[in-house]
This record gives sequence, structure tokens and C-alpha cells, in this order.
Amino acid sequence: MKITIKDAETGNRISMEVEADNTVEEIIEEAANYWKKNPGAYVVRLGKKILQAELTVEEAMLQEGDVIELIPDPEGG
Amino acid sequence: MVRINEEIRKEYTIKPPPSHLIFEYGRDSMEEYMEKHGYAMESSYARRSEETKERVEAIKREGLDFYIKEEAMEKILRHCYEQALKGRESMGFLVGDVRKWNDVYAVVYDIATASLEASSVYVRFHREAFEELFDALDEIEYEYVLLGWYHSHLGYSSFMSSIDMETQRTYFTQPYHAALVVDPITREMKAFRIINEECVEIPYAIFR
Repeated sequence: MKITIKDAETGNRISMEVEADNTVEEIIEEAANYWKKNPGAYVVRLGKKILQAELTVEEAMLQEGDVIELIPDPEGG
Repeated sequence: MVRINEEIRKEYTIKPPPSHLIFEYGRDSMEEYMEKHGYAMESSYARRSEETKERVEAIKREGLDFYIKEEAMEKILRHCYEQALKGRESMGFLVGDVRKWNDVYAVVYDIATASLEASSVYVRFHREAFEELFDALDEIEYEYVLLGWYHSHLGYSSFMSSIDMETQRTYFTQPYHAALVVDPITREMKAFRIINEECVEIPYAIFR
């Protein structure tokens, strides 16, 4: 199944093939490694919901053509 | 197995920078701008706690490449002012587009924020507020880019603290990214980015 990962900080996207038993964590790690980001630093959203890292593609109910977006989680002080 | 097919890079819009500038950092006074718009606070609102902020010294750089639309600026200053009235820092994303003319530049059209976990010396999004944030992002009707973030200090003045630098280093590493630090009490707003691991204060402009 083909999905897209969007990097909100650049607007760049990655088109990716995933399988039902892949986890969200595996997907994000692959994208984050490609973009040289820290995979654990992001909130991952699909539409209005946060995707939990431990969910599989099937459990997260990801579908063909879905766009997952990496959202920063900043802290200021 | 997870397999990357291809990367689709967002193309820069080719367009000249905004020309109707109503504020240029270095030429105009932010104190006067805040006073004129009703967002300058009295020093009695300063919430200096015993905790100190670790200031990271910045070097100044010339060359304007960061533009903020007046309406977005209004929202930033209002948010910082209203949070400061409650003795809390504010924070949000700077949302807009990356463009190219002779050089690459950033144009902030909107902000996106949500409920915050905030004190007088710290701020982040409330853990339950991301849906609010997603709603704010979904209201934006163009292919947005997060051009950086803004947050406020309450009377400490405008600078990057070590926490701010960590956020910048983690998320906003592109040459067009910036951090705006607003202090409605000392009536300052400065823009920063990290270049070659150094904190750099950059000019910005507000346009209509």
C-alpha cells in the first residue's frame, strides 16, 4: 500500500510502500532517517488524530493514499 | 517492509518579495509598533521568577529574507499580550511559504497555535491540545510550510535561551527558518536562526 509522509517544516513529501504489519514507528523512522531528523521528536498526525508509534498500519487503519504529517513539538523557555 | 519510492520536494514559488513594508527591523521601533497597536505592557507585569533563563549570545546578520504579514503579526502580538496578562509565556507556529526571487526568502501569512502548558518561564503545547493545533493547520487553504515558531518572554527581554536553541536545532534547521521571541514588557521582538551552530539575530519586516 502506498502512503505519503509530509514534513511540515519544509513541505517536502515522501511516497512510501508499507505493509499491514509495519508499525507507525517503522514508517516514521524510515522517513526521519531519510530527512536526517530525530524520529522521536515529532507528533505524527493523520488528519485530526495522533498516530501512536506502536500501532501497526492495520491497527491505525491507514489506507492507500493517506498522508501522514510530522509536526514539531517545540518547547520554549 | 517499509520502502521509500520517491521524495517530492516542494518547489519554491518564484515571486518578488513583498514591497509594501510597514515595519523594518533596524529602521523602525518595535516599542512604538507595540504601543501603536495596544500590545505594549507595563513593567509591573514582569514575572521574573527565581529561575533564570540561560541566554545564548547572538551575532547580528544583515540581509532581509523574513517577511511577516501584518495580520499574522497582529495575532502573534495579541497572543503574547493576552498570555502575559495571565503571567504566562505564549507560543505558536509561523505558517507560510518559501519563495525565491534573487534569493530564497520566507513569508509568514498565518500562525497556528493551541492550548498551552505555560508558566512565566516555560511553554509548550498542552498534551491534549494537538487536535486544536491540527484544526488550526487544516484551516490553512494552501500548501503551507512551518517557517518557524514564536514564543514570548515576560520581562527578560528578547533572546534565545538554551531551551529555545534546542527547539530550533531539533526542528527548524532550514536556511529560511526563524524563531521570533516577543517580550511585550520590554517591548521587543527579535528574530533568530541557527547558522553554522551559532545563534544569529536576523532582520525581519512586516508587510501589508
